[in-house]
Amino acid sequence: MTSRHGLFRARARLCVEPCVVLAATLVIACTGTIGGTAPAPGEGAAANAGNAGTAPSGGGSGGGISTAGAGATPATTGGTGGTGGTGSGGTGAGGSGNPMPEPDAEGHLPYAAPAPGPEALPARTWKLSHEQYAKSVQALVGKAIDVTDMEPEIDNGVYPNMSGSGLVRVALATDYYDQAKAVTDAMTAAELTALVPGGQLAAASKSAFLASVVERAFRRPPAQDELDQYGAIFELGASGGDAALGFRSVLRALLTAPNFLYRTEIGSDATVTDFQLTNYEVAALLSYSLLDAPPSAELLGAASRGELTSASTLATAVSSLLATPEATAELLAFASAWLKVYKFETTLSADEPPLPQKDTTRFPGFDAVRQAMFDESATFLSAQAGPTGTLSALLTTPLPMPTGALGTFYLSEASGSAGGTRTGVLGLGTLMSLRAKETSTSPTLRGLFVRDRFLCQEIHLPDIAPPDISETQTRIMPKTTRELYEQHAAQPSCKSCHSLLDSVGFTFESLDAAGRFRTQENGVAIDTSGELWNTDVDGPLADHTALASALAQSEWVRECVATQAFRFYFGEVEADRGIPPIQAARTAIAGGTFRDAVQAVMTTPSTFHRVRP
Amino acid sequence: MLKRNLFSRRALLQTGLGGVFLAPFLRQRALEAQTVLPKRLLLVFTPDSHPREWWPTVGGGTNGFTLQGPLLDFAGLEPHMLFVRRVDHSWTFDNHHEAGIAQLFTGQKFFDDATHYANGPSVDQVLLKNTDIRGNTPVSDIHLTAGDKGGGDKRHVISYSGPGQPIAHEWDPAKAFTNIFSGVTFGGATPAPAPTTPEGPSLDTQIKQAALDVDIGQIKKIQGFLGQEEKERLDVHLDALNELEKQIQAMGSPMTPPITGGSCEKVNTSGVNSSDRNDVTIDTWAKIQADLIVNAFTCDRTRVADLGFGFSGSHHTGMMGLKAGDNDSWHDTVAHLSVNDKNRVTNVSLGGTQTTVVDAFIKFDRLWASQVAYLAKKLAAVAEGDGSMLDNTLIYWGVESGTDHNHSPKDMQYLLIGGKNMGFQVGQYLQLPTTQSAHKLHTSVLHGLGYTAATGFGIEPTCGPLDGVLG
Repeated sequence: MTSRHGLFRARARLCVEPCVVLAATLVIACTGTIGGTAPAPGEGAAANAGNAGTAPSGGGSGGGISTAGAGATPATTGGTGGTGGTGSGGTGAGGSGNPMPEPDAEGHLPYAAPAPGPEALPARTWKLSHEQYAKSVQALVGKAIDVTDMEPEIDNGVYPNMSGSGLVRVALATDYYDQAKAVTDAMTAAELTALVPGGQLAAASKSAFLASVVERAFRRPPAQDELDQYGAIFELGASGGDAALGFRSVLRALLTAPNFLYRTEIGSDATVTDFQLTNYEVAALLSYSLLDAPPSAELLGAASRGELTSASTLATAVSSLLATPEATAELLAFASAWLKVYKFETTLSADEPPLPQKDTTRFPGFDAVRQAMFDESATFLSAQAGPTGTLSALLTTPLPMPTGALGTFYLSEASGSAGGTRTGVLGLGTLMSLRAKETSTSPTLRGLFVRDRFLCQEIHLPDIAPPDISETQTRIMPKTTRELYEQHAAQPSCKSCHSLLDSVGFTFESLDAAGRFRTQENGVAIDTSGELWNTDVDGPLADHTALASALAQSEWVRECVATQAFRFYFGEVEADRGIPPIQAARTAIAGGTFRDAVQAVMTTPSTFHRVRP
Repeated sequence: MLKRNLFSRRALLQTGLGGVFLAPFLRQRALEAQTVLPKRLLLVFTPDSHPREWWPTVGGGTNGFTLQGPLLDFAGLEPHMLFVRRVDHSWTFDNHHEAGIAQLFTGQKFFDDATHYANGPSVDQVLLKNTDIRGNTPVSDIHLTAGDKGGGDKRHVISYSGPGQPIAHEWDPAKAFTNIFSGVTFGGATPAPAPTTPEGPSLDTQIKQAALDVDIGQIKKIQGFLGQEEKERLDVHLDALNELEKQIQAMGSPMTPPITGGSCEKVNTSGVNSSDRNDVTIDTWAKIQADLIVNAFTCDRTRVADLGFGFSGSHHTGMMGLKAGDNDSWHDTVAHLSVNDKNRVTNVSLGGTQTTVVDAFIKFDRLWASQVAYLAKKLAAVAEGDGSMLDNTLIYWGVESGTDHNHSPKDMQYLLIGGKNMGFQVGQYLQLPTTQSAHKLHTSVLHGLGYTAATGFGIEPTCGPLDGVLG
């Protein structure tokens, strides 16, 4: 068992040295591996979405660990006329009002609730995702569009649809105008007529048509000057003698309008810096965030009655939305994004092999069960991460042995033919195979996944080169992955980070790199013991079932899940861990369902309270 | 009622009096375009850094240096190359991959801790905002990639329009072609203008223009409710709409005659395989992207571009038949071994042949370098003024980490190719007496391309230029 030492108190400091790859190659720093291998392609980058914190002095080096929240900027080295010693971004979290506590002398980190953070979030706009845009187009004009060839959306590495990453450049703007023209040109007279109150494509219908479609496009009642602007476009379109072109032109213009393409959170009076959103803005926030679709007439009706900026009626509206199938689908989309299940690809392509790749000699049949493995995860997450699922059940529910080819595959490793235990989401074949290499498991990657996704602790990569390989080339090759990775403990440069990771990852060693059961590796009995520290549930672990049970009791895990939910549903990274949505969700997830957690995230005053920077 | 700018060039051209008023002005601009050589900038990024052999050896050749392995395809271009040794990045984070690519052409720190985007604009965007580098070209700038399917995350982006505003690459040559050459009719030595009616813009165009006007007004109104950072994000949208307006205006304007000696020809964009693991198809893909850039220059569609190959730390697993244990990633094995195995004697298998890591790294680096050489040679083959298009184009090539993939900001490898007519002192291996910051080099680039008021760049706003880069 790896021992802890004082450096593990450095939750908000640096790990001292980068990790070296024993026997062959270097790892991608702390996320890397030993024994001549490195993380699967793409893993290194994914592991490095950490938050920088207090900058160390020049000359510092090494990786580090941090937790959720905004930190400081990286260190600057050198400058004009030359560079000095290199430093690196350190660690830190929690934002200005609630810095993360540090582990105690023994490396434990008891949970410490933050002081209440600010209720008001910053005013902003939030561009519709392509999917939301397509749904909104269809809701307005009644025709489906294909967005697959549109300018790809920028995924900034947090979640796919963050408000800060929605930039409209020339290519995307061109797509919007082209889409608008194509879809409105394709509308039949009957389809156009259906949008005109009174059903007549005639100039006399202009005002009623404008009032109807502008309100529906903007998801709020329009101002008179807005109606005038689109009225002018109506006249311009109709000036060629084709009355229908007037109607068509208005719809075409509405589909490129910023008031259509963005949801705004700006209020109604630009001179007031601390303000409430309009009810219509809240309706758009709720609908797009919870359902990934524009607000319904019913929700806009609630907005018109002012029900969305009052705590009690807001809760009712959110509860109603969360009862819909669309909300369930979005909740599962959250689970997939949070746990990165979507990285498991099921389709085979000659050009782009799907992830994860597995050695076909060591894991024969893996590609044949990809779809079944993905389906197993989808079924499990639907039950345990859906509306009625709980965090505890997600982590600790035993996974049944699948029938058919997948079950056969899981038992296909000779030493694991009798089966074994797989517990909770962490035992899923998709996640086990994603957090492994082509030929072997990776306790580092598996430990990193737990730290990152369930504890919101992110390991920083070291910033200097590791020791010369020759220093480690003479050691004896180990027989098991565990023995190999335990070499990290013998390397001070590796120990600081890897002990945090590997001691967690060792608990999964009974599941091989393709998720199959095993009891031996190269004739040596598998040892699944590990240890957890730098948490509020520290202690020795017998296996991944024990790990799951410990995590299910952790308040840090609850806060992390709440934080992830806030980021996903609000599309922004929190400035302070004490903000109401996160803390409300943390409380809700402790004894409630995931639906309860989302209900809590979306029903604090932060939903409608904003401040103008 | 639509509010229009009654004094816009477009509005004036639609009146008889306006045409009379503007005609001398337009003729003058066309004349200037014929007599003043353009300035062009092409940023280039290649992945996983360079081995030490990328640097030339001192002595030999007409320029006092001799190219080595990775750059052998540049043979003959030595008079156009400017190596600058002892340049460091000014800050680092982790293993420098993300810090390196973020500051590569921006000289900035991270925008935030979640995205690790750069906190300010890159040199290309600074030039577009502060100089007339664009001229009358219809497309502000283009951003292409090969060996990578784009993506907008921190490791794939080298150009930024502002803090936290990455400009993603277009990987698809067919789509890039449409974006760059929309409205151009090929078939001769000059690009033909898009068809227009004698009565002016068609009704369809007028409707689009009217929508653009309304949309611009809406963005400005929303911006009035937002803080600075949010305003700047919407500025990007506003700039895009202004670009579309310019494109509409250009449809009715006389086409500026090209001043280059090259013909404006259509690029065949078919046959692209987007695999990032096949060096043969990557070669085809990269050359098509390079051809698009060269033709965008010869057709004077744009004067600013960036071309990325792979991404920071990209893997290209198994490419060129690499086998290295159970991980065939070029980055994870070859690039890492180049720093970890200081003697670089470890063997890997390339297509079944045992090869030392240094030879493998050189082959890998040459794959990308050969694409840059291809592009530079194509530009050098186009006559322009008294020289070639390369003399009026600066290719500014960088990587994300220091020499030998050292995971540090030290000994960065920037190479300037071309730009002789802008004053760049090409044809030399400039070994600085003391280590200097990359910000100085960026400042020199800004000066050479016309932004002579720049006192510095990025987080070193007063660093000044680098001696020896400009004449």
